[in-house]
Formats: sequence, structure tokens, C-alpha cells
Amino acid sequence: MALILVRYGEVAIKGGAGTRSRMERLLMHNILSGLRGGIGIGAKAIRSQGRLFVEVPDDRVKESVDLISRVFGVKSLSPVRAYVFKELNDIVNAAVKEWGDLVRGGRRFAVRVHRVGSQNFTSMDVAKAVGAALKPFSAGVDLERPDIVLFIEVRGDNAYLFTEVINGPGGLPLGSEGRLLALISGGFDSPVAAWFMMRRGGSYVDALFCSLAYPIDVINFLRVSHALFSRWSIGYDPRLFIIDCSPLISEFRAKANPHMWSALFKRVLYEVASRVARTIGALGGLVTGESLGQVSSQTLHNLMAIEHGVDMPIYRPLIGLIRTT
Amino acid sequence: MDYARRIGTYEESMRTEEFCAIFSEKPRTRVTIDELDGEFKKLDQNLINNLLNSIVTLRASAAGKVIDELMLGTSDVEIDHVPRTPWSLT
Repeated sequence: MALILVRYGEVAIKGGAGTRSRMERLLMHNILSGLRGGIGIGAKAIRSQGRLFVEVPDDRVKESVDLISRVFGVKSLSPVRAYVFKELNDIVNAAVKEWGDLVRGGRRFAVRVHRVGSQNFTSMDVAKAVGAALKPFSAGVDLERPDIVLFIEVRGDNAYLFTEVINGPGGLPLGSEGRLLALISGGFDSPVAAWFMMRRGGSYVDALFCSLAYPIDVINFLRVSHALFSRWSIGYDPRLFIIDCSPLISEFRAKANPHMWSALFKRVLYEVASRVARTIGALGGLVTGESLGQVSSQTLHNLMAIEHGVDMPIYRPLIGLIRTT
Repeated sequence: MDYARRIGTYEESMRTEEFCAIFSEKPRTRVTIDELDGEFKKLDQNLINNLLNSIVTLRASAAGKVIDELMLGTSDVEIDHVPRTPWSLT
């Protein structure tokens, strides 16, 4: 079995021990159910002093790393080799065994050590000893611009050796907050807005789509939803709601002022969405991809008029962002 | 945009973007609450309920399969409950 070390900075510093423990369990659950449900890997996870260690089969490390790097709450991760040591020299031997070949061929390297617990040596001692032992194999030590960085994390009587640090999305574990309903149009902005709320708010996000040109627009909505949720909603299978909004077209043509059609459409959409949200218990509110000035109808005035009468929060995480094409 | 690329929705959104230009008849930029409420009240009072009755629900994990069915024009499987009226454009 291979071991993956998972760091989760923000979860670890949250609130009291109760909140933290709940978040850690949620994070573990999301990782394990993602590995099992997503790519059929039966894994084990162990919690240890603000870190998670996930055990996966040796030949599935790459896929596992790819999946875990998309789990919200994960700050970064590294495939590691674990060694139990008695004295400093054991770590040095382990490093030579792991990395002797790696630094060969004219490569310059650096050793970075992180140490937790009480040992009779310092991080610097480890770095110096390992550096000295590996130097003969290599083109020398270069702490400024190394070709390869060798990391050692010492915890109690365990040493974890790794060379890669892969970034995760950060944020909070999905499910640690409430439930939101995202209005997805299939354009660029709304899926990004949903993603922001999933990451930052740790919320389960379901999606609602208002179809005006079935089936082509529904197909596009499903494609976008699939791209978003299959990659990112790890540990939760979102519900997708599709509404046939085509009756609006004739209704608007017959009765409404054409210059207000787009605002009126939104008004109707918010009304419908807030009712659906209440029905499914998405009481956290709605998420939209609106951004000020993105289209001529997305003004402060219009947003105020559109959301009048909607009795739940509307989150617009893109509101102040500038879109670059 | 950069986020859409990072998230992996960029390619898919590319197909849709600017597609929803149906209501693009010179939109007003300063609609007031009262004006919009006035327009809203002109609409059929059953409109919202009728829209809600047309809801189709599925799980995101079934999206791929439903896309295939829609492309083939045989979409009646894997949908939790079927709309009362078939999809149609007025």
C-alpha cells in the first residue's frame, strides 16, 4: 500500500475542538467516498495531529492524488514514503535508499525538513546529515535554485519522505455548511459562481436551469453541470432541476414591456428558484453568476428590483470580479 | 474565465455563451422595484405554479446518460419524474 499525506490548513484552525473534529471527519468522509464512488478505490484514512494519511493501492497513487486534489478543504497533498526510525542515522539511510538514484545524473538538490514532536536532533541536523550523505551521488547541494527538492517530515518516531507537493483547492469540506441552490445558465459565469460557494462555503450545491429552447439548451446545461459536479462535488451527488420556461416567451410577448423582458425573466426565475429551494431544504439561499455591468441589465438598480420580494439570501460571488477574455 | 478553465467548465460553457439572447431587446438599466412589480403582476397568476409543475429532476451523476438520450431523441429514462406536458417551444 502507498501513503498520501493530506494537509488541510483552514479546517485545522477552525473554531473549537468539536467543530474541528466534525470538519476533519467530513473531510475524511468526502475523500474516502470520492475514491470509492468516483474511481473505485477502497482506501483507509488515519487522522494524526492536523494531518490525514490516506492509504491506497500502490498502482492507484496517481489517480488518487488527482481526485484528492479536487476535494474542498484540502490545502495540499504529497505521496510519501513512511519510515519508523530510532536515531538520526536511520533517516539518513532511508533518504539514501529513496533518493540515491533520483539525485544522480548531474542534478542539484535541496533538503527541506519539518519536524514535530521531541527528538534529540533538530531539523537542521537532519538536513545537514541527509545532504552530506546524498551529495556524492549528485551535482551538489543548491538551496537557492535546486533541480529537485527533497522533503522530510519528522513526526514522533516516523519520518515521511516526499518530493512533490500538489495543491488542493482549499476552502471548507463540502457539507460543513448548509445547502444552496445555484441558478446555472450554461454560460461561463454561473458554474464558476457555484464552484466558489462550494469551495468557500463548504455547501452542498444543487442546480436549477430554466429551459427556453429544449432540447439544445438542456443538453448544454447538462454538459456544464456534468463538467462542474463530476469534477468537484466529491462526496455529494447534486440534484439538477430543469424547468420548462418556454411558456414565458409567449406570455412576455403578449403582456410585458420588451425593454424589461430580461429583468422580468430574472424576477420570475428568482421566484421559481426560491420556491424550489424551500421545497428541497436549500435554505442557505440562491447562487447566481451575476457580476456588475457584465451585461447591460446587471446594474445595481436592476439587481435591487429583480430580487425584491425574494425572501432568502442571493449569493453572487462574482459580483465584483472583472471578466477577462 | 481563468477560473472557468481551472474548474474545467470553459469548453462546455463555450458552446452556450451568448445563447440566451432571447430577451435582448434593448434592456433598461434602471428598472425600479415598482415598475418591475407592475410588469410581474400583468402575468398570468398561475404562471409560477405552472412552471413549477414542469420540473424535471435528476442527479448530476446521471447527466452523461441523459445527454446521450437527448442527443438520440429518446429521453425518458433516468429522470425522477416526468413532466406533465412534453417539452415544446411556443
